[in-house]
Amino acid sequence: MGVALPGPDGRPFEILRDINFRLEPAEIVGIVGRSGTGKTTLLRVLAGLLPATGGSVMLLGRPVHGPPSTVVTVFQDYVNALLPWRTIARNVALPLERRYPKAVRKERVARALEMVGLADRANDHPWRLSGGMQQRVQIARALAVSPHVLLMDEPFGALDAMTKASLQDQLLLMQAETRATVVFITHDLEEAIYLSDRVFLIAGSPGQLTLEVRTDLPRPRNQITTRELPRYLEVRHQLSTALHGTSPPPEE
Amino acid sequence: MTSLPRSVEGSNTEVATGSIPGAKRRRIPGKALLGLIPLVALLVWWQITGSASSVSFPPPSTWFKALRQLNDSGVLWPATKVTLEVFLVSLLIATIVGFVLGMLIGGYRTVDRALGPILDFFRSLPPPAIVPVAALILGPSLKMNITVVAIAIVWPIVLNTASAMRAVPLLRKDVARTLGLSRSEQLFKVVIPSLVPGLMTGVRIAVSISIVVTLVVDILGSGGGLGALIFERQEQFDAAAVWGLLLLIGVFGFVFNALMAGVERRALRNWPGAH
Amino acid sequence: MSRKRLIEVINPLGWAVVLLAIGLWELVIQAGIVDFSYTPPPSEIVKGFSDLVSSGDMGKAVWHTLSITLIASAIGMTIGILLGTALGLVSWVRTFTMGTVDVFRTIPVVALMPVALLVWGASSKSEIVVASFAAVWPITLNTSAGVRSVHPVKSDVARTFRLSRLDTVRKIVFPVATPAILVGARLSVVAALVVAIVAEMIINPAGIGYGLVFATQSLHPDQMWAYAVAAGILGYLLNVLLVQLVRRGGANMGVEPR
Repeated sequence: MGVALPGPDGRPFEILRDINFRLEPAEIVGIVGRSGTGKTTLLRVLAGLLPATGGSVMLLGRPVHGPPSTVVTVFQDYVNALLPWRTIARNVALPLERRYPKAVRKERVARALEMVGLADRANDHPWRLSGGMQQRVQIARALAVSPHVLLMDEPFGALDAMTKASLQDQLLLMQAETRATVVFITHDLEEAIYLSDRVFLIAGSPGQLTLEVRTDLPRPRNQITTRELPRYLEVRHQLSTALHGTSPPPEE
Repeated sequence: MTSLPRSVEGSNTEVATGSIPGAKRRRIPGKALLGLIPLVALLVWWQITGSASSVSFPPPSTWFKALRQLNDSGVLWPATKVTLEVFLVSLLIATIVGFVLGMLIGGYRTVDRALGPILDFFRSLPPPAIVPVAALILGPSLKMNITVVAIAIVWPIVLNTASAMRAVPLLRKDVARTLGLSRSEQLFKVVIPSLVPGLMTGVRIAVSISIVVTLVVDILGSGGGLGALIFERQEQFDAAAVWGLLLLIGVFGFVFNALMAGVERRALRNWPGAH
Repeated sequence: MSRKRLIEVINPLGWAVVLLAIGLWELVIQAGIVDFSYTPPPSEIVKGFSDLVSSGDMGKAVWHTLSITLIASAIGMTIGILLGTALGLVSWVRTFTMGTVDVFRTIPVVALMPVALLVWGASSKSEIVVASFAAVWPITLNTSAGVRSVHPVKSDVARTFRLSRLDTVRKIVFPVATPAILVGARLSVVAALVVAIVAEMIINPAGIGYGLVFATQSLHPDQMWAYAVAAGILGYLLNVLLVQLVRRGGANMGVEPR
């Protein structure tokens, strides 16, 4: 369902170059790379927040100009991504207010909150919740729209290990149910391999897509057994070497 | 009344709130009233030792008599009405104009830069200095008094709104776009609510300045309000009335500040405590 | 400095707008398009200003207002720092005084002016009294807040080293409280200036405030504007000066300037 084909992009100096790829429907793709290589920029281009220079992002055969309605982004900074003056339920309802009547909205919000396990906190404000919960709210908000494409920028980066693992599995469950295409950025190689069908490595300055690996791991995934599979270790070895072989981008 | 200190504003600059980490806020009214003991003691002592014939310091009981006299002669209520009207209407105008202007300045860098020196000048200009000038240009009348006060008090609102506008996290605006909100939705559901805390601060400062400016405008302009009345009484050497009116004005000041604090608390009840 | 930074600091666009506004004003009045009897064109204002300067009136007025402001600030700050320290350090003082402080600081100073007029007449003394009164509160509150903000850890440090009470105040409390005190001082001076000018308008016939009102009543709008501009410049300069001082003073404390 999601098809993307960006080209080189950047402002006065090139941030990314020669990025070309296509996404298969219902695919999960993880993007890894050192900090500063332009991963977030790539995601913003995919989200329609930033135009690509030379080349374009295509969604279902049509070029993207500005954030498309079937693509939703989940940001790392959940504190500023949620509106503190609205309750959780109203935060999740925000993208729906223009599209659906009240009754439908209520139902979608309820379902989304249940999917992330926060139905009982619907009337609290975001700042009463822990970091992990707030991030779940952001995900619920994304899900309520039923997007075809879900973009995530280091969604679990600020969370502790246990919350991370739990959210990772919840994400997989939700993706299996909704069949959305997911593209996420992470600095956690293990997470990238665990979640994805394919992993992209962005390296160099300007950043380029230097490596693309199919994980070929069976679904459903399991935090313990999947990580012990020989194929997992193989992929991890391949990506680690490639990652550590890259040099950090120059200081800004 | 909480015992959280706030620094007072004599000018347009932003308030430095004395926020104290770890300070306990006492909401027990009894405790707060203890702080009034020195004041009460002073008044009691004054009452006992003062004499009604004192030229400058008649005791408190005479104040109430004087106020009642003023009321009976039909002078007090019209003056109060005038002062209230000027105060409230100018506040309303200043809030609306200040908010819109602040949004423009905070939202568009070119506007900000272009109006920079002018704003800087007006914000450090003591508000009362604007009064004679504006009063002269606009001529003496009630509507003009309102305009003059509004012009004098709009600055903290403009500045605080502008600064809040600049502080809206870029991410929040990105979020609004990626969630597919329309332009007006982005403005009214995301940007404007973000400005509420800043606006509240600005209005609070404006209120405290406005009390002073309203009185000044009254005294220098066409009069008719409490400011003119208190000076008229002073010219008549009616000390009791002067103190009485001072008390009245002080009470108004207190009431409005308290009301403002209440409004602010209510408007910000959904915001995390940091605001 | 790079060219970009230079442009940012000087802000040519802003000044261009100012010049444009002034130029437009001049043109509009001179061309007779708009006739506000009380808004003379800038050229006349400049003339009025220089007349006042050469007659010595402007100098006297500025000197009066400035000196009153400084005296009142000094008095207000002295009282304020002492009071604020007492309030901040000694909790029973705070409990038994804070309510009164709150009442006093919310009294509109303008309403006190008739009282001052009654007691001290139309003199500089009245002016100093009211201006000092206004100056006391910002510094009191900020000093109190600053003193109270000393983190408990630091007090523990003081105790473990067995510092005497006085030493604790000197070496730990004051350095921490200094930035807040400086901000309070700035607010106090500004408050003193504003109140001085208002007092000059309505109780003491001297200084910039009086000049403003006198020029208004004697129908010299150009001079009136000149005084208003003078007030603005004085306020602006004081503000800038104080901000700089606060920055210098606060810089050593590892605290942001504002």
